[in-house]
Amino acid sequence: MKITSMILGSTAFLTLTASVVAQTEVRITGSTAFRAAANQAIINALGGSATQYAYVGSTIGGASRGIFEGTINGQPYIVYTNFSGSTAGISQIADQSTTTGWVSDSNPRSTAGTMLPATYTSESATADLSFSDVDKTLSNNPTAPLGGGPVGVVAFQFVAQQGADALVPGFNNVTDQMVEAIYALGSAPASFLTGNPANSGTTVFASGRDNGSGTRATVLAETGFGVFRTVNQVQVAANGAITQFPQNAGYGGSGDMRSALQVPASTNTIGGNSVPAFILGYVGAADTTRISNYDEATGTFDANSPIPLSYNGVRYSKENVRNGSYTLWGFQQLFTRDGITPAQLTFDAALRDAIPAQLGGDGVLSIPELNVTRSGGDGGPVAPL
Amino acid sequence: MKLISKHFALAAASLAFAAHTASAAFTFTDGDVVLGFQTRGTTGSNINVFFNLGSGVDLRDGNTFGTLGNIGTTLTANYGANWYTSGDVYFGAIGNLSSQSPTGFFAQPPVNGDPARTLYVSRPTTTVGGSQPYSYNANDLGFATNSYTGQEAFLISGDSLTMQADGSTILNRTTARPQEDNNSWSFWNPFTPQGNQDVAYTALNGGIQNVLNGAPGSTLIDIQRIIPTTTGANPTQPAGAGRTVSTIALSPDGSIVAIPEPSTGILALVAGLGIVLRRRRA
Repeated sequence: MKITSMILGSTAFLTLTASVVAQTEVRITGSTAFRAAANQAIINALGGSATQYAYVGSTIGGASRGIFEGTINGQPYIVYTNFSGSTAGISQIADQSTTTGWVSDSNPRSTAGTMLPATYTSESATADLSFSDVDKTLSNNPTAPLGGGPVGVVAFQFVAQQGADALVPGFNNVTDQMVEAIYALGSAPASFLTGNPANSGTTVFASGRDNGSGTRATVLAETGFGVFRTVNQVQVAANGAITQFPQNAGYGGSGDMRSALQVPASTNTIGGNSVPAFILGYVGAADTTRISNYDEATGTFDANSPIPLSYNGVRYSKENVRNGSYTLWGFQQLFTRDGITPAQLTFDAALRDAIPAQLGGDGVLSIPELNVTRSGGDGGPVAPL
Repeated sequence: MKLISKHFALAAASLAFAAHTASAAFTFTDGDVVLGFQTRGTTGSNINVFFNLGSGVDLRDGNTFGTLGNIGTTLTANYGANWYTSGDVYFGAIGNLSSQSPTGFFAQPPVNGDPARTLYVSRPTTTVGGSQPYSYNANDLGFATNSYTGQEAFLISGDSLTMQADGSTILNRTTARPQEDNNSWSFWNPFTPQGNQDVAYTALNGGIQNVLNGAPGSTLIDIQRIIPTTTGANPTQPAGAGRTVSTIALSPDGSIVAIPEPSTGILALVAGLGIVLRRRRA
């Protein structure tokens, strides 16, 4: 009897141990532009209101790093996110390179979501999945054996720095030709954008993202500038000081780009001297709403905010994306690494199923709702279905 | 007024000891001028060959002259034994130190007498120094030098390049990373569907290359210096107007000879050989 008890006890212990070991880890990196939809889709895929999660940032929608714990069909999962940029994410899963900043399992989490402090416990790890605003053919790993494909559409907008309208009243549009000139040459007189010689005394500087950003790749592809061409960009400090990025460099995250656009242009200085100048940048359409309260239905936005711009004469709205008149958008891709496990693929499938419900938010659309398609990959011609 | 024949110039240049000695290994520094090759033929269609001509300033000042190297082995291995006569292989040269603006906010100061966005770029010619001067404005030079930066970046880093024993290096576009492939010699020196040279480096109309179709003796390209502004330029020249500083002669055996523009001091040497000079166009 004692032996039987011991055997039963051992079996129970082994069963318990097996259950603990069976929790599947999935690590997701890549595009920051899609993170709001991605984070909510993860929560839903892992059980919705039962999912326990924590994040770095002020809201889960804006969080680039998080940890999520839940189940799929009764199987336990723990999912980590560390969004770093599209092309960087593709490289990470293709090369299985280790990156830092992942939220450690030791951090607290809750079903309501726990906002972690800046001093959260972090760890280094490799990634299994990557969201990307561009196809892998525009990355430095074009032939990497990655699985996956498009899961949605992400729209972007050019935005002028807060206060640019005071320097250049009525400025509300940028064309692809203007983008090529400004981003190749680094700057231009504002009269080039408005056609008004009176604006020649104000300078517009190019600003934007770094080389690993899918937002940048999508924008440079769509405008015809060229994804692999060198850009000359500036950065704006919180006090308005404008300095040059190293050649071809840019902001590492969309948060930094948003912050720069929100610095009042009236405070801009170069070398300590006040200058009549503003920066031109680009963000996901969801971020435009976040920083300017842009209303896509009317095209209005808050006074004293960054200025969302029309692109080639067309303002951003979901309807204009659907009908093909607004073309500054790209397909959101979800790639999986080579050698992904069956359990991780189960999560991938659940995540893909959960994503469409999140595509009603700002700046994101489902592929089926488009009345057009884009041929030839990112930046290719848009034509009606 | 004197004229220089192509052959005498070559002889004079090759007799002089070269101030620039060909390197055993390909290295590239910001501001150097690169000689680039591509083919429109089948053999080697995915291969770009590069050779370093040295700094633009040295070319400008006549410090680079004589035989710089011989890359016949690489050209033959990649483009076939008939690379010099096939009419398929094209070559040209380009160099720039800084693509930043020389004026306005964040203006970059001149370096060694070259304002920022000074461009050294080739133009085909059949006689030494005989090419028509280019005419490009400051914006053209801004676009061209900006486009060149991506190419120069991998020439400096060596990314995706395979060094050759004769001092050249090759980029295999089939295996290159997208960053290098999309900044290759072929990418920035495209052709129209009709087979003519298209705009090079975004702004250089008609291209910058000469074609190798068996020209007797050697095939020539003039290297022209174009400055966006005269401010800080030394030597100065009209802004936007190309001025030949050197002629590069490529021989059927693959030897590369630099023939400096006569007024840079080598004049005395060639004059001593009884060679007459072409009057430089104003």
